[in-house]
Amino acid sequence: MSRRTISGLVGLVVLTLHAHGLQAAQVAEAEKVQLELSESHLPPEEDVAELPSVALRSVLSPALAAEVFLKANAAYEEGAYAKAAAGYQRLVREGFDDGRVQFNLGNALLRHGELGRAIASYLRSRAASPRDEDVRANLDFARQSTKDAIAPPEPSEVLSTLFFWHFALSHRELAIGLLAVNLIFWAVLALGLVWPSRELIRWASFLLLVLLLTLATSLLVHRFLDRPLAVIVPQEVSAHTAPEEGSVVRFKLHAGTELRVQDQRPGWMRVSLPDGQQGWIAEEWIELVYR
Amino acid sequence: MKLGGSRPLLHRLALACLVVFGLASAASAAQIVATIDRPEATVEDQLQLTVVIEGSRGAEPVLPELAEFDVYPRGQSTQMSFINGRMSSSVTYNYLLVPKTTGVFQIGAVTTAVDGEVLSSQPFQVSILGASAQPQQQRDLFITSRVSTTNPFVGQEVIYVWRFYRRVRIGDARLEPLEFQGFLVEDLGEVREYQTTVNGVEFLVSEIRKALFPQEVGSLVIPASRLTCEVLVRDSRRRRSLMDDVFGSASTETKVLRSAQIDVEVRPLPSPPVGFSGLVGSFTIDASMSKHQLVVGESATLRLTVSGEGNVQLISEPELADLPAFKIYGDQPERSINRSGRSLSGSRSFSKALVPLQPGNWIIPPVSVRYFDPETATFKAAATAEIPLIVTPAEGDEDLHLTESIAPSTGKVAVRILADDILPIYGELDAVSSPSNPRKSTLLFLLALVLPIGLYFSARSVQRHRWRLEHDVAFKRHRVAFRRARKQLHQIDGMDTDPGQMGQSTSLCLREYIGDKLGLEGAALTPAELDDTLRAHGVSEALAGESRDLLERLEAAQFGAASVEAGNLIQQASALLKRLEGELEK
Repeated sequence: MSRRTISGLVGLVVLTLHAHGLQAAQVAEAEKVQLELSESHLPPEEDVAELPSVALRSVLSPALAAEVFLKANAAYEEGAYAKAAAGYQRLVREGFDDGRVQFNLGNALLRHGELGRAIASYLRSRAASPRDEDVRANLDFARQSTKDAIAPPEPSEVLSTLFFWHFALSHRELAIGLLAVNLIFWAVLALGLVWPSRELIRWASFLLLVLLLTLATSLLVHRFLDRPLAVIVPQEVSAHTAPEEGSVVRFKLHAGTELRVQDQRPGWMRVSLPDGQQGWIAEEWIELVYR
Repeated sequence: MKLGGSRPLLHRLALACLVVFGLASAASAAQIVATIDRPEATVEDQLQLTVVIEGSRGAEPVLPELAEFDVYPRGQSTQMSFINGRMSSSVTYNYLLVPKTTGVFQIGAVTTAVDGEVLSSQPFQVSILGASAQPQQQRDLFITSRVSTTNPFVGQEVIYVWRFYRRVRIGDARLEPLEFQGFLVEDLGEVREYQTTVNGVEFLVSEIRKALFPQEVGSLVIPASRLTCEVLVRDSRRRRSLMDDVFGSASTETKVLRSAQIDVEVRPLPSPPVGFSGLVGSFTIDASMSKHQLVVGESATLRLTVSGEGNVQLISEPELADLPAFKIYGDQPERSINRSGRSLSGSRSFSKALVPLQPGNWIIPPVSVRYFDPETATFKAAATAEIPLIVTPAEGDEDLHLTESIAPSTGKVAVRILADDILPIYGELDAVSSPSNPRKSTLLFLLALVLPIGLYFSARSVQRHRWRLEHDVAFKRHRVAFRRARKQLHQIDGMDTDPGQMGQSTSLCLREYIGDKLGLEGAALTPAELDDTLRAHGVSEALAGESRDLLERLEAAQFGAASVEAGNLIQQASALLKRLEGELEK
């Protein structure tokens, strides 16, 4: 393998590192912001107080997190959906943001009547577990309750078939796959140092290189090309012609509608409808979901 | 043609335009005229209303209220005429009026506004007579509708037959949806097309049949149906020309046909007996057993089929007498409705798996269905015959074959989703086994990604080093020079030999070291050459001088200089070696 190829690979690795690091930090930061926003919808303090009493910003130990999880599940089963949602939200805020916790949060929010936030939670759950049929079923169920006749922004059948790994694997799975292929690739190259003339090693390293580039490209596309999804939270929200409160209202959207974010300004987000019509919505009415 | 020659022509054209438009502007005063093509028509005809607005091309007519007619715009045309030096323009608006009912109607004034002035046409009267009084066989097309009875019982099947007779070519036939308020309606097949003869005249007939089931007691009305079609009409007034022969001279005329309204008086049912199923019509019930001899625990299928004519949609499961000696398992019923006949008929089959619990001779008692027969205006009962069953004891403790052939010929039924809901929450605790830490995971990702690369390049450099050691003598001498020299000095120091021999060996060791390090033949170097060589390779003057001095002293010891102490020289050589290695490896 030439020195130039190896230099290119190293460059790609650096870029991927950048993508992975930024993406993880960005998602974490965005979800933290969203959760802080949604705190105003938490049930009254006395309800939350029944859950294990830890300071909101402290770090939950796995044992305590399990207790919060079980109590939230019990609250859900008893029909105390607001309390259950508060428990799941605490877990998410403390970093226990597994797809299943997001799924449970989506269920609790949906039962509590918060359609927009429920859909956002299901979307986050789907991002973490893209092949989970339960998540898909509940997301589809929640989407039936949306008012706007706007199809959610989903990839086409052709795209999702051609680039199945890109859509069927979560960000974490892509990263782990990349690490595994990277390890095998360099190990095969090292074997090539011992047996340089083996044809099998050449072919294997070539195929692994293709796989490595494919997975790295997927991660890079997620990082640089995927726009976040905006989910409308209130029952009705106005989309303005400009990012100002007094500007003309172009159209109205309703809870649970999913749109692609085209642009962001302080306090505002520009979203587009499937027919290309665009409008500015105050970010306090939106939940952002990253892939 | 000269270019200037066209100018008079342009002038003439411009003048002509000015004259035309000048005249147009000076045309006669605006007026509106509304005319009808005939003052008298039947409800099956349509009338042509023509509104002409003269003197203004932009004005739109406003029609009066025409509640007794359906009004269809039929386009507009503009005419300009130039008669006796006067220019006139008019716009003609055409409307088709389709009468809804008979009577004498006043067609009010048609109005329009021209330059702020409201113009009105003269009102006129139109007489609309009943349907053509001609015998049916003398008419080209007509529709009929009739019912099998106008005095049915509630729930009784009433056959409604609608027919469209025609013996001329028609097109674009449109039947307004038939309304049957107060009835449950079932289609009896598709539209039938056939030919028939009415009083010796052959007609093509389209027939629609429906089964109506009155749901309310009292007077119900089946409104008149209305069919609109285009009829091909040959214009006999026009003289036939060659073009007519080629392209035809026929035109179409819109015809609106109506059937008569039907009044139905629905009678209530007499006081029903106990167990009345709600069925009205003629029904039978049939029962069959898949086996008549069976052992305890073995299942047999009882199949009850209720069939007949009438409101077969209401067939419900007949009540089976209590059979304490049997376990009974029901199955999905099968329904079959026949719409292709002259009336609605059908059946519904109910399968039940009977599993005897005790041996013995048992009787399945008759199963009956009570229905109302409108022909005799009485309630009747249809019943099955008794079915004997011989049940023998089972041999040993045989398992009950409860699911065996519950209904061998049961048709599959599509599963219907009755309601939907979200799937339940996850309860597994591993969902919260460890919190995510973006910084930590990024760091781990970085390490895991870079580590294989680092290991690969390390292995590669080790391999290259080994290869050079094997294949590059100068490199190998350079790399091993210091180690070898130190080893030699150590050996010399340990030898019990005379100072001269020791000095010679030490001197040779130093010179070979420098030769290996610099790729030279070190054994042949004199102290002066060594000094120069070291300086040439970047060694400091002091160290080069010391090296020269030490070599000279070693040579002196070699040749017996008594003042030199051999052990001390070896220590000096060892120290010098370290310093030289330090500078030569820079």
